[in-house]
Amino acid sequence: MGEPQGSMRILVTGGSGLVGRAIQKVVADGARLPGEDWVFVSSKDADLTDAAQTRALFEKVRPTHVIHLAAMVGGLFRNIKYNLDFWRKNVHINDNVLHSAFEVGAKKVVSCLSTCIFPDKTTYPIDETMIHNGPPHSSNFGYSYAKRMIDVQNRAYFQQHGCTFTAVIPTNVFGPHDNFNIEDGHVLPGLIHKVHLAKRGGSALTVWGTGKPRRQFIYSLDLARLFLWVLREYNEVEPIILSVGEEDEVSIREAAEAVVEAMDFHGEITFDTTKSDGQFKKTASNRKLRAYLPEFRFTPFKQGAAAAWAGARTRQSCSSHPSPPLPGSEHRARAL
Amino acid sequence: MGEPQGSMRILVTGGSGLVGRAIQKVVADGARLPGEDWVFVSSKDADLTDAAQTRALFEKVRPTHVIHLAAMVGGLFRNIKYNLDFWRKNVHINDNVLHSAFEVGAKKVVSCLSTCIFPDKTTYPIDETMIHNGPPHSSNFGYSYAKRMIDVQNRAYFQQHGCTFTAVIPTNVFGPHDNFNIEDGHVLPGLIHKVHLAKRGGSALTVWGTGKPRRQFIYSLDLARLFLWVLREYNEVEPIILSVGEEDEVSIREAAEAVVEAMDFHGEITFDTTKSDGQFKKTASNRKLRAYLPEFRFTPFKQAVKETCTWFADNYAQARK
Repeated sequence: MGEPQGSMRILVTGGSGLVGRAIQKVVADGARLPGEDWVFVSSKDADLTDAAQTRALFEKVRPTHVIHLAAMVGGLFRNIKYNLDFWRKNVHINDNVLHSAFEVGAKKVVSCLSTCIFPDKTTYPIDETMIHNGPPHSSNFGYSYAKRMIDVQNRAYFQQHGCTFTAVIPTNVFGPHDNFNIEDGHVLPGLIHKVHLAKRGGSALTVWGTGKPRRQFIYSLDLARLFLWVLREYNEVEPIILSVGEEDEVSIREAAEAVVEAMDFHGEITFDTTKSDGQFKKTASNRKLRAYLPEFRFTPFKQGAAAAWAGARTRQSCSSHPSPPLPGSEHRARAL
Repeated sequence: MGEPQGSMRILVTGGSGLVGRAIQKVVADGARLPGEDWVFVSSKDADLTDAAQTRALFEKVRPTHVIHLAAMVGGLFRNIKYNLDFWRKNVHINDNVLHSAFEVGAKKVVSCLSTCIFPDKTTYPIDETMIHNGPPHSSNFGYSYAKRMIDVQNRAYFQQHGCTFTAVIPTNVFGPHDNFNIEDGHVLPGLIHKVHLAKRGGSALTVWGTGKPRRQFIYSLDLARLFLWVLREYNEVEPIILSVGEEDEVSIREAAEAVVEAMDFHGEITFDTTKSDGQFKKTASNRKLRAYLPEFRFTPFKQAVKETCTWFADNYAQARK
C-alpha cells in the first residue's frame, strides 16, 4: 500500500465493532467523499496492545487520518471485577495507536471517549470542560481513567508537537452489530437479547436494577455521521460530546418499554433490584455540538431500537462474535 | 541471584537518585534489619521504559518488596515544554515496574508521588484524599497525570488481585546527590548551585520568580527513614503524605536566605520576575503521618540546608549539574 493517492487515507481501528460497522455503513451508503480512502481494521489485523504490531500496521497503511475506536470494553458487571485489565489494556492500546499515528505523521486522530468517565460527584448537565474535575464512578475506574488519559495524551501531543489529536464523547451508543451478550454487553442490547429469549421461552423479561437510572441513547448510525463531520471539520483538541439533547434522556424502564414495543413482546416485565444500577444519571449537554450543527437531526429512539433489533435478527444468533457485513452493504472491510 | 534467604529482598529503582542515595545511606548507617537484602538499581541496570528489560531485571532479582523511585523528572521549566515525554515515559516506567513486580509475586510496592500533582484549584491544606479532585497545574500536566495514575493502578491491583501496592507523597525533597543543574533541577539545589557560582564570580544571586511561592521542604535523609517505615509498617493502599508540618512551610525567598546563610554569601540577591513562579502554594497536611508517628522528628531546615551545601562544596566535581 503506497502513499495515499487522494487527499485522505482514514484508518479506523475497532472497525468491526458497533461504531466501526456504523461508520462502514454510512461511508458505503454515500457519505464517502472523492479522494477519501477508508481502511477498517480489527483485532484480526493487529493486536493493538502490542506496540510492534501496531507500529507495523501503521507503517503498512500509512494513514493521514485515524478514527480510533478500538478498546477493551464491557458492561457494568464485568468492569467492576477487572479494573486492572481495563486500565492496562486500554492504556496500551491508546498509547500504541496515538504514538504510531504520530510517528507516521497522521494529521488528525479522533478517539472515542464516553460519558461514563465523567466525575461521579458532579453537577448536571455535564459538559466537555468537566472531564477531569473529580474521580469517576468507582465501579469502572480502570476503564474510565484509561479513557480520560486519551484526552491528556491528546493535549500533550498538541503542547509538545502541535498535533490535532482530539476525541468525541458519545453517550450510550446502540445499534446493529452491538455486543448483545447479556453478561458483558451494554444495557440496550442486553434488553434486546433478553426480550428475544423471553419471547422464545415464554418467560418474563427481567431487567437488572430498578429501571430508574436515566440515559441519553445515541443511535450508532447518527454517531457515525457525526464522526465523519468531526473528522473533516472539527479542529479543536478539546473533546466534543455527541449526544441527543437533555430533553431526550430516558429511564432504563422507558428503554425497556421501547424494546418491548419494537419486538412485540407481551410477557411480564420485572425488575431485579438485587442487581446494581450503576450510575443513576450522566446527563450530558450537547450545546457545543448544537453550536456547530444546529440542524443535525437524530433518528428517533424507538426507530433506532427497532433498527437495532432488525440488525440483531439478521444474525444466526445473538452472540458476541463478529457478524458478516449487513445485507445490501456494498462495502467490505479492506483486505490488507 | 536465587530466592531470598532472609525475610525480605527489597529492590529499589532509581537507586542512584536523590532519594535512592538517601535510602542507601540510612540503610548502610544502621537502619537495615536482619534478614533484609537491599538491591539498588539505576538506569545502568535496565531501561525501565522497556518492558522486556524491566521484566528481565525483576526475574533476576526476584524481589519480595519494591521501592519504586525511578522516573523521568525535571524542574518547572523543562516540564512545561515536554508534557508528552513526561507523560509517556513515566507511564511506561510505572507500568513496567508495577506489572513486573506483580508477575514475580512481590508482596508490596511503595511508589513515589509528589505534591505537585495535586489539583491546581483546591482548598488548603491538601491531603491524601484529594489527589484526583480536579486537574493539576497546567505547567506539568504530563508528569502530574503519570504520577496520579500510579495511585489508580495501585487501586486496580488491589481491587482485582488483592495486592498491597501503595505510594508516598513527599513535598519538595532536597539533599546530597540531588540534580543541581540550574536549568532543570529543582528550586533548592538550583539555589545552592547559583550561590556557589555567584560567590565564585563575585556576582549577584538571581532568584527566578518573585520569591513569594511557598513550599514545605523535606530533607532526603528524613524521607528515607520514613520510606523504611512505610515499607515495613504501612499497609494501606491509599497513599500517605510525607512532609514537615504546615507550620514549617517557607517562601522561596526564605529558602534562598537559608542557602545564603549556610554558604556565607554576602553579595546582592535579586528576583527575576520575568521567570515563571510555578504554583503559588501546595500546602500539604501531614496529619495522617502524625497519627501513625507522633514522635518522628525532622532535621531542622537550616541544618539540613547546611549539610546539603557542605556536601555540594565537597563533591562539586562529581555532583550532577
